[in-house]
Amino acid sequence: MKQIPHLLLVPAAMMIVHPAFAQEYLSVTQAQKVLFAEADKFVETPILLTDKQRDTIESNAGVSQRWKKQDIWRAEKNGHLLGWFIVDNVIGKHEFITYATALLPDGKVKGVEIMVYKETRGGQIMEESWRKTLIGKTLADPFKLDKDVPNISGATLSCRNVMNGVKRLLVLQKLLLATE
Amino acid sequence: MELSKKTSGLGLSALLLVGAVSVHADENLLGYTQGAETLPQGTSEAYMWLTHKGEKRRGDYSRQEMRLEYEYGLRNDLTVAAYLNGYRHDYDCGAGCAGAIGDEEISGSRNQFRLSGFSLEAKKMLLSPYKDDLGVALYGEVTYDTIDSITGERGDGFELEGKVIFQKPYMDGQLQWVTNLEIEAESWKPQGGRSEYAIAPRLRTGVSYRFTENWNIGFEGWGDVEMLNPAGGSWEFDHWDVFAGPSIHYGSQSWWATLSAVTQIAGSNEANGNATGQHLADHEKNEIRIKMGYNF
Repeated sequence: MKQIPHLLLVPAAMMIVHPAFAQEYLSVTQAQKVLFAEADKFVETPILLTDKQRDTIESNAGVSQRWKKQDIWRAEKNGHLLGWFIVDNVIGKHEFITYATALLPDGKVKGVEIMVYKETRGGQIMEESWRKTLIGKTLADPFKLDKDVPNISGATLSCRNVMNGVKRLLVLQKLLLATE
Repeated sequence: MELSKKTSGLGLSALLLVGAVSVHADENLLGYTQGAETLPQGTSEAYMWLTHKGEKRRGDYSRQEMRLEYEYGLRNDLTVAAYLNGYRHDYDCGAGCAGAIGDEEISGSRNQFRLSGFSLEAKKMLLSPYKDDLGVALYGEVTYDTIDSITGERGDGFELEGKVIFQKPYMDGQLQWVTNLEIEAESWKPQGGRSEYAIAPRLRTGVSYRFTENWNIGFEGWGDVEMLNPAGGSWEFDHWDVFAGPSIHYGSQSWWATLSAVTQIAGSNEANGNATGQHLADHEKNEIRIKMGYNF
């Protein structure tokens, strides 16, 4: 067999040495202030899910609960519950998308903020015009792309997974988080 | 096999290999099997393909197929592309690198690189893999070629290729299954010779799994059958073959790369008495492909 030309090795080497670039748009603290501007306190209350709880979430949400630990903060004002602030990761085209969701005690989405997004296309997912389509959503909504949530061409996977992630967090809230 | 005596037959069959180097839209998780996604409207992607093919039945044979591609999103569900194709041949086959003893094919030697022609492609996404759960796309490509991909000899060839592409994501897109149903029809006219024609259906399938951020591993395979209508002859079965092998893919914000290595698992012998279980006239024992794409 003839030797493989050295030219073939160039792109292979590039695959090895190319670095990854993280793009963080909001820290946890910044996202908390954006989503619960009126809150005077955030109480960190992470949940460690059992396998059974994860299975229940998956069967109710229709998507898997990948993480055993879910980072959750209780947003309060004067000791009263304003809602839940949850940081979550979903699969993007190349890397995980980190986003924060604010949920009201009655099971409605108060807001969504993209914290880390590193995809080639679909930067529109960070724009308010797309994120606000998730505001007010409850588990009674369809959560279907191009039906009640618009799709962004070139970032369909990101749109779908963030949308499904928000639905999954609503299920988690319903099953495991207090209303008061 | 009568076909194996004919260089022109090889050239025609070789054009099928151009089809095997079929063009892709959007990021390629696998080296050969294509996904159903298209580029967003108004966006572009540049590709570079290098495919090394080596080892025949006898002698010392290798070649590299090279393609440069520009792809453009005409609409969100319609991508068009143009390609420049070339070959590098490096072989020393003596009486012949393939075929039966006394009835050899691919003789002599050659060491040169030449541009061979161009391709035009269109891909229409009917269903999105992420919006509709099962992605479906239609694909068409036309190629004009002036080089016999196997021997490197001059001629004129035209190829039409059509595909139906399926893509099914699992695990929120972490695992992808892709399948292509393909058909190729082509003509090849060697210099000073008469035109021949071939038709080849092919089935490709593969899976790709993202094992960590940016990185996928995959496995794919395909089988095809070629029917040939040689000059002055009539349609006849020529050969079949099955290839399979692993791949690794890296994708980042602005560029991606895929490395695949496949081997011929089985194939019809190109001549009586060659009981190796491989077809080594139109194909080789091993292939390595690197594809790189840049988004802009």
